[in-house]
Amino acid sequence: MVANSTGTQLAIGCEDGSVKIFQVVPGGIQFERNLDRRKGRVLCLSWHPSDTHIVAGSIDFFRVIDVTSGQTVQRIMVNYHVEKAKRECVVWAIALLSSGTVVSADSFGRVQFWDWEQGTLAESHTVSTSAVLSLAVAQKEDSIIVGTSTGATYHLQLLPVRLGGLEKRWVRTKPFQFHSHDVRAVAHSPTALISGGLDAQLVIRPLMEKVQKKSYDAVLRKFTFPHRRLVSCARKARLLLFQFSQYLELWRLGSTEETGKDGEVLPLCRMPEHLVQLKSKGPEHIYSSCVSPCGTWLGYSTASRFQLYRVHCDGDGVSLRKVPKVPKLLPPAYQLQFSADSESLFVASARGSVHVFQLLEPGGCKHLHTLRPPSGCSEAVYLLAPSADGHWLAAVSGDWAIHIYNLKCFKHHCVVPTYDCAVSAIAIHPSTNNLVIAYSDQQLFEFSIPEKQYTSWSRTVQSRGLHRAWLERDSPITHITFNPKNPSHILLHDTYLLCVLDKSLPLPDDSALLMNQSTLKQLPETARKRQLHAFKICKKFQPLLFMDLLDKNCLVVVERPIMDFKTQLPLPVQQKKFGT
Amino acid sequence: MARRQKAKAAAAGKRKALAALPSPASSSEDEAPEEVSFGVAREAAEAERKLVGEAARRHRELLKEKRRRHQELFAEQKKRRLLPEAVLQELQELQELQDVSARPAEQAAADDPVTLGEELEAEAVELEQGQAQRQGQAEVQEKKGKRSKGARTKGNYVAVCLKDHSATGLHQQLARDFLNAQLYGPHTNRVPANEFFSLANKRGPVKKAAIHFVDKSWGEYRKSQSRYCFLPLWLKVHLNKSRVSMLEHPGL
Repeated sequence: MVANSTGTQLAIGCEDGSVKIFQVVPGGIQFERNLDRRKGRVLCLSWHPSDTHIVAGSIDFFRVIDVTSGQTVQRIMVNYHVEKAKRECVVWAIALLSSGTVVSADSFGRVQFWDWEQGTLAESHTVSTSAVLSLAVAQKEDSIIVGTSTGATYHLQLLPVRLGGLEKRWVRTKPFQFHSHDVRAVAHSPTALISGGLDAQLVIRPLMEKVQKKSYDAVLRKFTFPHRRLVSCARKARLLLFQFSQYLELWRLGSTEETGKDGEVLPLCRMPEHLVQLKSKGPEHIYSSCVSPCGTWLGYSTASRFQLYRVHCDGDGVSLRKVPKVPKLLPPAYQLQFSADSESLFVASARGSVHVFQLLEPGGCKHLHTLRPPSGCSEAVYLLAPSADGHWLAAVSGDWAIHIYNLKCFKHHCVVPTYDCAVSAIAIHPSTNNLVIAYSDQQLFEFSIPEKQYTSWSRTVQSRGLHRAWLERDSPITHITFNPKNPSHILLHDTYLLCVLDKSLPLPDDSALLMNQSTLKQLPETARKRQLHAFKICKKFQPLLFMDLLDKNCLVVVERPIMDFKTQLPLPVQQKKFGT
Repeated sequence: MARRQKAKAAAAGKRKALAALPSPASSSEDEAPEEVSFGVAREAAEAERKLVGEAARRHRELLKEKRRRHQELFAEQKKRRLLPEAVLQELQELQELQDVSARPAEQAAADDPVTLGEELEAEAVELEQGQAQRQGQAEVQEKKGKRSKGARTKGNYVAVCLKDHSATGLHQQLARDFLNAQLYGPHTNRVPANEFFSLANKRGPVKKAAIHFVDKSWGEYRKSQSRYCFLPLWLKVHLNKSRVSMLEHPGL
């Protein structure tokens, strides 16, 4: 399925060999017509940049279709020169360049360049022994990235044969091995090569010749975990809700009666229990989920529906009852959040609006109000943070503006000054009602809601600047929480570390070591006081999915070891290593 | 079929070994033909045979898997057409007793325009929690209303067309099978996860065992199985041996 360059038409290739054209209309797509149908399932499609032709790749051949007449103008056999081909050649990816060259990637590991008008093969490169699964062409059409099923990606460039000469040829320049499993999707941005593999990694490799200066953008980035919160915690009930793509799991945490020293593992007197697994109906992925702090309400949303459940834990059994007659929301719910007293539910929706529902006791839900930003907004809200006293609500919309609403009178209170970066996490302090904001460029701000301005601590942080090692981290903060016992503590975590930020301690400057907990432990008491600074970082648990404070003495940390799911992925291709 | 394949592979292996020897016509007359030792040729043939046997086994398993999935798909489709077991049983039991009282009740139940599918699934969730009885009865009555073609009740009810799973499901299955066969079929060089990840353990600076020994949770069931099977047998054999030897040498 591919859209044309202007985005007005959509071409869809089907199993029976037909290519259907759909018109993109506001609100959906409308069938326009069928193009010429040939035998053989269509596996890949590409539009010409001027939208005059479509090339469709199939098994053992590909064909070029003229869009206006709908007829096949050329059919080229990909395997013609092999006399007795033992297996069929599947064309996995195809692209049509503006010069009339067709680039095809097939299951024999070849990337071939064809002139479709003449029907001839211009160049053929065998990049790998296993199949080439994906292909992407740069905007300027002088550079192509291909991904193979061994996990290797290759960069092909159109280079002049002689320096300064006019004749150009395609050359395979750079091989990369970033993935261990098949690379099923690649993309080419103006400055970087992006590949996504079945090993759950997304890799961005900037092209050095396009990078001007040595900055954050010039670094190889690898992402394994999504930059969203997938775990919700019901603090009082000690429950954790895990959001998977097709189901939710509710667990009750275990407990221990013993105490011990730093670094010890205590035996549990009650094991963690898997209470419920709730499957979502339909093929859609679960977009967001939440459990209320008291542990009796549970909600999740997918792209087309929103469900709310009532949880009853009686003795040993747990029962879930669906809340009937939940008000239908036309756009989907992007984020769900329960209020701290579990009486209301906030649903983030499109166009910057937040719906407030009141939860009624035996199991019902009533729409109270819809909060909207005063100047309108075209983007949806994606983050919500209610305050602990139920007075304020902060909502972040897709245009990176943070709006604060007063819940007692349902009016817009203020807007946080805009910053040129996306927000990755927000939270409101329970006692001081300060909004702590973590941006995706690792900056931290603290905004006082009653006073409608940044706090003095936040101004100090900005004037001194954060430590270089803190700014060079490559995963964003996904959750912020507070310590009820000590109001100057802020707890944050990203994928590789968890940090307790103590506002009463001095900030470190660039010359001090940021991760100094291990050195501090070895120093005597007096020397320790001199080197103490605000950031207390623990890198013991990696990769982290979630961290929260349960009560005075307990911190819950959810870790997802990569090997745990890597062994359950589809089979990788064998890589022959020397000496094995 | 396996033996024929093995013979073919052996013949191919021998042909390869023979091909290693240059034909007398091509080489010059002065040089003696190169000698390839029998051991080398035999090893080459065995390796070839093993590889082909492995690939054939994987292909057979893939076909078996496909056949089994098709069977399951058909069985599931057939099951979906019939109502769930519990409801059928209740229907039979309650048919005589509640035939009269069901009429007014089913009218009320049929007024609620809820799709059959949702009710079924809601019921499934409830069954798991053990609260089937109440809902089951209301369900039975509504089902009865929709199924009883003989007595058509006058009342407002909504006829709902359920999603038709049969044709599209099969197409999707075929498409998925095609992709699976192309990407994971016998000609691709796929290797089990254990071998793939253990390579790093064996080639690293600190050599460790293969992943399925290092990672405790892996293959626990199979390891426990083998332990239980092997140990009693070992004990039996060795205890018998020592008993026999003691009998033969009573002096010891």
